[in-house]
Amino acid sequence: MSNSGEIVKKAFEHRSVGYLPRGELWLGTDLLRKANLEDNLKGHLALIKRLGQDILCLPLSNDISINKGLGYRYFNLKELEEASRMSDIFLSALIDGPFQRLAEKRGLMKILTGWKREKHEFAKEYKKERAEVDILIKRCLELSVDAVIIADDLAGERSPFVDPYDIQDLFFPFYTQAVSEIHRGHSYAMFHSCGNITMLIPQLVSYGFDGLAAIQHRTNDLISLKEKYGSSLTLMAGIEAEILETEKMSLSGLKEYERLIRSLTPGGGFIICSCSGLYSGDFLERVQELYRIADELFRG
Amino acid sequence: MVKGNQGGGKNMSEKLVDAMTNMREIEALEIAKALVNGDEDPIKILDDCTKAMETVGKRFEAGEYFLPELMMAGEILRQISEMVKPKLKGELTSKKRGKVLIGTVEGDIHDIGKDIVSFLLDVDGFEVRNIGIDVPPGKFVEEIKDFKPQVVGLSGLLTLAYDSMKKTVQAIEEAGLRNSVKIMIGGGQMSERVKEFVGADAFGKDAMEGVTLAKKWIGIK
Repeated sequence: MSNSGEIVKKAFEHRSVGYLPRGELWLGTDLLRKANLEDNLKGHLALIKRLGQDILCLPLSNDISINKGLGYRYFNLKELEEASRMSDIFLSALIDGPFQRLAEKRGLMKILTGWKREKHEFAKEYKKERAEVDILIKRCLELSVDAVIIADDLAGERSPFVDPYDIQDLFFPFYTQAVSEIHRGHSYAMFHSCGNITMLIPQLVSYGFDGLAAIQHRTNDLISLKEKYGSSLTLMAGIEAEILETEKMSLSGLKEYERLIRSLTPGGGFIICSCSGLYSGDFLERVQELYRIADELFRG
Repeated sequence: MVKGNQGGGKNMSEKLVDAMTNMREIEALEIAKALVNGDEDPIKILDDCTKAMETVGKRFEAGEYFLPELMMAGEILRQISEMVKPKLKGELTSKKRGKVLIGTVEGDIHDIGKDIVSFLLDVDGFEVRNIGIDVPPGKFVEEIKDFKPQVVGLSGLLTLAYDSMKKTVQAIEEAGLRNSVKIMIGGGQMSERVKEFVGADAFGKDAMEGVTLAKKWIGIK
């Protein structure tokens, strides 16, 4: 494995690293276009290299498709296999969890409206989606991916969409089994959700996840999270959406970024990552600048 | 089965609030039906529902309830409103609290937040015009001219939406309509800074805050 791959592994193991590893869950089609690259495996590898990232993360689905809402591409298993052969970079597969898949199919609004009345029906549909997700995870592990990230958007800005007890009741079997499977495959298990998942963290820790990926500081207070769970969870975070705005970086945003880097670095278990993915906009130079600042702070 | 007005109006009224607050939909609807059939003042029934909605909202704010409870209570309110409507005089049924125009700004196709706010505003008695997703600034201006809302809601999840929201507010200003509307923004990544950048009057962290803002601006307690 490459040096960057080793660094990421060290970060997961909370060992000391030579620099702060970095990576993104989502790189959007438009961002690649702005870098004069195509949205394919080659393009992603080239962009990662250009940005100096240490992780190749491929959103995975049964078929190649585009997430129209955010503007990023799903890769298929064949491409993942190709990636595992052509690169020795730290390879992670991002798989939408059963809840996410159902929300995409039925619409989140419909799920939430019917949640109290049709929970039984929902559980049946969830089980079907889960079976497909289980297969995808299994195939990823056969391809020796280094990490599997399960993405289930469970929360809004203020709190989880549904009662954490319901999440425990309905989703616990999937999460625990998926994490066990991933660990048996000698990979790291990460979890992603947008929004405020603070209430869910104790549950996620109990499911055995190794870390949280692309998690928002503004809603989750990453510094407190680090204090409470820093020894058991790796955090892929640090770049908030506000600092990626098209305007010049604000002084307050920059100060908060520096505070985050300083607070999340000690003890390892930290990988620089945006909280939302890089989809569109003139992010390239901004991201490189943020990495440079992090390197300076790291060197102290 | 709840029969007639037995137990006295006050008691039934309390039961209605309790059933609705605690998500017992069938019971709430049966009580409401009994009250309507028992010639209870329809305004009083709706007031009880509003009381229940306020408690549900407070529990949501406190983190005891989540979106499904909020929406379920809204659904119960909607059904009870339908029951009560025939008993109300014409001028009352058509009387809405105020007008809200809402849409997801150009370049963004996310609709969940916008739809939840629309739903809650609607059940709260607002006249809501939901103009969909990926709405260009010019379309907002046209709709404001036609619908004449007091409140405009701009929704967007992506950071890309900030620019679009700013352009929309500018277009509203250029059309000379800015002083006639209050503008709120909502979506995934909104903050005070984004609000300032966009030129909006306020931002809502979630659907309930959107409703609270609209009520505040229209002068409803």
